[in-house]
Amino acid sequence: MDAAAQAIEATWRTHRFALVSALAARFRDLDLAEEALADAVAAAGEAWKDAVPERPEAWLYRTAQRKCLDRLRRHATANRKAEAVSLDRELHADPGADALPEARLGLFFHCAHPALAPGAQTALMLYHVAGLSTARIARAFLTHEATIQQRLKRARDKLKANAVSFEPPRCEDWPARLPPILSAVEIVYDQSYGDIGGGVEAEALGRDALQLAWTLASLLPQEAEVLALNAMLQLCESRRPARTRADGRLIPLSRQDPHHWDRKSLARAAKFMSAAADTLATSVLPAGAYTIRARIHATHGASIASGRPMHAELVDLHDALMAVAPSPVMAINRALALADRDGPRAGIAALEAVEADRDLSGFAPWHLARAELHQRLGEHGPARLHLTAARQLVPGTLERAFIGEKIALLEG
Amino acid sequence: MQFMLAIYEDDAVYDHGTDDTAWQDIIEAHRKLGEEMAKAGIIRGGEGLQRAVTATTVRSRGGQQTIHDGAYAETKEQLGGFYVIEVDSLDEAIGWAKKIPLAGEGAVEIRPILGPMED
Repeated sequence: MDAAAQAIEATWRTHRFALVSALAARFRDLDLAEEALADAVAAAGEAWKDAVPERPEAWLYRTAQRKCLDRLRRHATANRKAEAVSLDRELHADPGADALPEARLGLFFHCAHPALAPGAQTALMLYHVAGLSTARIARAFLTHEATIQQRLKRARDKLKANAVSFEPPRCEDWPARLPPILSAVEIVYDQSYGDIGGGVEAEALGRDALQLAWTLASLLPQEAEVLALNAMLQLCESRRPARTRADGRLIPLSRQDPHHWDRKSLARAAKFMSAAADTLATSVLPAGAYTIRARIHATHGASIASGRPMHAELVDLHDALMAVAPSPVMAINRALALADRDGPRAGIAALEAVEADRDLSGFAPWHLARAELHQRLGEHGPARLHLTAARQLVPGTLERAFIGEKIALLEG
Repeated sequence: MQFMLAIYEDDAVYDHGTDDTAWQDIIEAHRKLGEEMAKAGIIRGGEGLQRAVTATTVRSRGGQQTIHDGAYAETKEQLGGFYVIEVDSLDEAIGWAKKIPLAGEGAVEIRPILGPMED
């Protein structure tokens, strides 16, 4: 790779998100921003051959702004042409116009706008914020590239038709606007973590999710929920090396060897946990689901690592979580925590209560929890019934093999 | 840019007629909102509609046009009125939509209005 190509790659890696955000905010058009930035990068390939500019990102920003104007001038509508003329004048008059402004937070909010479906939010965030190709997003979500391209286009068209802003919303709107960003990041991470057999590709997606969360934390260092999300994801990430056996089969958290947990991730998680605790009083968003879930993860870990059961603490944390963010998964986890504290019968009763609320017969985690508790009581018949039901419901081959193994153990 | 805020409600809540307090309260709440919108300088239009049972639908299918008694869609909630406002972005439109009074449960659909045709 020559010096120009190397400089382009390095600048792209470090500044792509900031460049796209600034261009999109200035021209109020995400499509245009991406296209113009691609034009500018192509131009850099030629222009940087003799010498790489002193501030390559500023060069790209200035050039991309001109490319935006070129594209606007060619644009058919009179309105946009008039806009190009006035922006052109501004660009000439303002000597600081190539200083890259900070607009990244606005793009986070833009991509995770609540007027979009969650699938569209995550796709936009992966493409425009994390900079993943449509091919990689398609592989991550087990769908066709054309589907992702269409989803991205439809989402951008909707945002454009509704003149959705590139500015971060006012603080009083954060309680409604911040959670979709956090859950989009979590969905990306789950997609990576849930795909146990996904190998290098899944691990890379996991790192992308961690990077997204990390970037968000650097932009919102005072938000406890953002820091807690980071802590939770780092804790999950620390378990990654410990959760499969040499033959690739799954090891549940309770039977993992804490020595195999990744130390670097654990240290990062601890830092985020204490930072989250420190900012609780000053956060715009109050402590919520992520703060509690991070504590649950940390308590589980501490309990396993120290060999000291913390059943009562875990039930309390699950109760707190159900109060702020009730969901079937959380209710199932709470039932399991209850079983640890008060015995399997209490857990089964709690699971039955969850089922009475809504039909969970098609939900694998519910069957797995039931099976686990019946097995603890030595009731192999019902355990086998629920394991068989779960095996038909899980998507991954490794997970199916894991359940198959449990069934075989019951019969053996 | 302009947005239409279309109001969908189950108009059974107004079954008791225009003398009922439910009706009078909602009319008063709409009047107040209209004033607030006028004060903010964003209101461009809007009307309340008569009950869905008064609707007639002309349906075109296979080149044939037929006339039907009733609203276009047989749903629990029916179009009951709309506002047209001019604001800068969807977020502002959402802010105004949240202020629209409803007698019971319902929904407000926000749609950007097509601008004037450009060449």
